Amino acid sequence: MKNNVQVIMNDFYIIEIFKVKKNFDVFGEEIKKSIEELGIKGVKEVRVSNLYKIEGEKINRKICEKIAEELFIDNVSEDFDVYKRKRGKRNFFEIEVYFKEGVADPVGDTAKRVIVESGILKDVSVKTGKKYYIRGKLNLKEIEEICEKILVNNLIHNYFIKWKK
Amino acid sequence: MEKMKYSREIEILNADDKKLIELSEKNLLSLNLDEMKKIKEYFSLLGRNPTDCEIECIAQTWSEHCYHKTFKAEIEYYEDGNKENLILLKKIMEVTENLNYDWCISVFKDNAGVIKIDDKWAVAFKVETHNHPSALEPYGGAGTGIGGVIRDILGVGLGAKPVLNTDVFCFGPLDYPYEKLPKGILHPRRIFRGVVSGVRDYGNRMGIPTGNGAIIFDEGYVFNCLVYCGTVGIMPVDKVKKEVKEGDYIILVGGRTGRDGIHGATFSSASLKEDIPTSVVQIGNPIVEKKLLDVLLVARDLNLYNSITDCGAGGLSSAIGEMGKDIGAVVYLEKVPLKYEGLLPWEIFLSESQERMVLSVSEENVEILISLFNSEDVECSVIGRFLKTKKLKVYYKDEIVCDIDMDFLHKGIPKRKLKCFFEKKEEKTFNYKSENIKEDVLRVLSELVISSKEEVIHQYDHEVGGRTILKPFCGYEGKGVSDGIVLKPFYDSFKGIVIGCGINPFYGEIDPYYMAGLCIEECIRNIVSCGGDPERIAILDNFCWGNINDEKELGKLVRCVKGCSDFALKYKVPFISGKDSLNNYFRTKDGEIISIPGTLLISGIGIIEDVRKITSTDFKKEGNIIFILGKTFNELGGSQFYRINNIKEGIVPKPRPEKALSLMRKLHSGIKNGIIKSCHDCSDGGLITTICEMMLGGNLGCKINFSDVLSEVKEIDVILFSESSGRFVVEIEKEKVNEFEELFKDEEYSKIGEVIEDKKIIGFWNDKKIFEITLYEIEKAWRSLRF
Repeated sequence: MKNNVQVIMNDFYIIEIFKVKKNFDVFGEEIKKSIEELGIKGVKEVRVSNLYKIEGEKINRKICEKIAEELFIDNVSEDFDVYKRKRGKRNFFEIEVYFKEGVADPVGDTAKRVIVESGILKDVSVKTGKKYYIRGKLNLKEIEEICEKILVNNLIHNYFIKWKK
Repeated sequence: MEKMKYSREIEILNADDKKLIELSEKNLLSLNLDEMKKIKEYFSLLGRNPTDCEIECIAQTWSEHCYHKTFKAEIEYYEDGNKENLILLKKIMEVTENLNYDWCISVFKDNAGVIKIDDKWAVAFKVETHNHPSALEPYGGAGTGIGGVIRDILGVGLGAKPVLNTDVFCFGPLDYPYEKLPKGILHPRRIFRGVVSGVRDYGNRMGIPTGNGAIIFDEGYVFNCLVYCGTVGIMPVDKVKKEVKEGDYIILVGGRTGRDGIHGATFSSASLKEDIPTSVVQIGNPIVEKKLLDVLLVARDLNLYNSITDCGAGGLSSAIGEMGKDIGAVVYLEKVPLKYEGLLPWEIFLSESQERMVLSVSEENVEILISLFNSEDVECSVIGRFLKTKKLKVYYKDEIVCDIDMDFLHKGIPKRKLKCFFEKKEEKTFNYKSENIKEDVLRVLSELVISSKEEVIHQYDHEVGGRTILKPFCGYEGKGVSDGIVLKPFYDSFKGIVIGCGINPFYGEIDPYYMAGLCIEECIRNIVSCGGDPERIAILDNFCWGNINDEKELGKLVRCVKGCSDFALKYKVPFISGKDSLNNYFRTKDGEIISIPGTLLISGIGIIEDVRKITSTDFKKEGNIIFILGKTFNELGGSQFYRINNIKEGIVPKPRPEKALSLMRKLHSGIKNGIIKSCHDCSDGGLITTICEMMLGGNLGCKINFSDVLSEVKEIDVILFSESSGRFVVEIEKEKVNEFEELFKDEEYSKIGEVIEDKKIIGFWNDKKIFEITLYEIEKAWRSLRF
């Protein structure tokens, strides 16, 4: 069948894993400290969550919830969220950081293996990223400076900033 | 020549000199004109142009990183008008040859140096640098640095089991102003955090303790940080020799190949500029390497392979080229498992993807080996064969992409001839008096180089494996600092290994010759004060230098190498392995060149007969007597005391090998016979720092009469802060003082005080009290640093 072009539309979901509110966010606190050292004042809170972008043929929300619950989170201290697109949190700057194409992503590779080996899916692609929520009296320029100097290494990372006025 | 499908022809036969240089620069080859001409000459004999794969392969093999062009060059060296011709590598190897110890079983030829522990077991040690990658991507760079040196140990002989990692870092000051940093250079604080977490994550996840190390901060390292990573491994003596046999299959095991780290070897020979390609970044995957480690040792004990080497800088090209040097090899690149499609043949051949190793396996073992590796979930594929052709022949599908003579590849490189000179700086005594002794003591203790590094060290696992006897911290609540680290590698024997290191770039600014001697001595002192035998120590050299195209900088390097060679011979310690990382400089937009301070790291390994007979640095009991061994001289140049006061002059400490060696032999017998309760060497920060550190460990105080210290000049500043070599502070029980004095009767020593229960140090000068500092104040200053 020569002319039969098959188009596979891969579906994707994002699993976001974050510390439950009452738990102390160590990484967030460390970044807050770094921002203060940078000389930028006015940061009230920084929270960090891990992102897993799951891409594959037979993906749906239910499967992703199963993956997150059974494989990715620590039930005591962490919680998760599965979504395709998410509305921004009020009062928070949101920064998403992903690896550039071609940069090795060992955590993503391991996550993929775990999903395949546990028999949930036959084939899947996993990309990891980080999401930072920053609350405080800041302007966009300062946020960009924080990204460039603390959160992102332009050599290997791409990043997006989201904020709601 | 028929048209090639997968590789590109590089026009070189008709290129003139200007074109050749352009070619080298455009393709990041880092070759100079002489070398490019030699390549042209070789290919005009063959009557064809090289392919991209061939030229990349040659560039990698001839790179500074792999071939050590500078260390093998003939150097014309001028010092005070005297001319001398020398080859640096020869100069270093001479020491080992002259000492000719039978316990050095593999030196300078393999991935790492190997010495004997006893008739059954040997220990391998290697220290690498990973500077450029760590400057660009600190976390990934430092992690792959550790990963690389662990694979070096896996690839020494037929493979050793890694038991300890070491790490030494040099960074810019953590409070360096952001405004002064050029674009593309990361802030020292960020590099620092990234590097520490990279080393931590890789070492901890591999289940290897991270033990010994040092951290230096100086403005000179802002643009180029230094990251030294080392690994110690143990192996049976009969597994030290390896040999590739004709007809062996080439098997690639471990991780998959991607585009990461292409040009790492040639790139590390170049300087950092403001624009850098993404592909040089490597990111490690410790879990893959851990699986590889476990299964490799099983295969080793079953004698399934004849030779092994790691894929480090230069990737397959370097590993296979090196293994098949005397035989010849055929490689089929399409058989290499890839991370993703679309790699060109030369990229596959040169890629520096991590966690890979190359084995040479006899035909009858291939199947067993593959099934063994598969059963442990480690990828394993046959990619070629060693055949007696004396050529390196590489195919991609049906096309020959590389076909060069091994002899040309390994011996064709034109010898470099270099010229350099060294001017001695005159040393003058400098008179500076401390105005407030107590305040200065506390300032020295809170200085970056001396203060507590616990925030870093406690991130590392130094217990995993259960072999660590003396840990980085000892004493009360783990507040004392150890001189070195002691391991007990075997369950059925009390034999031990002790590791120490010596580094001090501050002396090098005044005279690199003595810096070399002092680093060697500091390393030996650290080992001996833990209980190591001064006659069973081997050392490794790691040079990190700036722009050696500058005759002055090269002159300093040569002077440093001469120091290494002279003093190692005098201290009777052989070099067993080493590495150099040159061209650590940064070129700014205006073309200004900023070199790092020439830095030498000496890492040492010693053997201990019985780990039950060692000492730590913490004071043990009140009422014990404190002695200082060795004599103090007026040598404050380069000391921490002068550094905090911004004085760049003064006389640098001089090593005194004869005296120090005889003292250390006696000290060793004293420790072995249990006369000495605690022992700490005097180095950075002088006598007062040493005593303070011992107090912290013991949670005890002491009374010291500083006028009793045997010294060249009776001045309090000199006695407190001078960093003269060959000195130790020891603690002796009252009942054993006679025994101690008998043992040391021909040596220089003085009784200076005693340990007291009151938690403070009381300093006297001729029975007059001059200062008093409480332990609380000391601890507060020493732990003041926040990273």
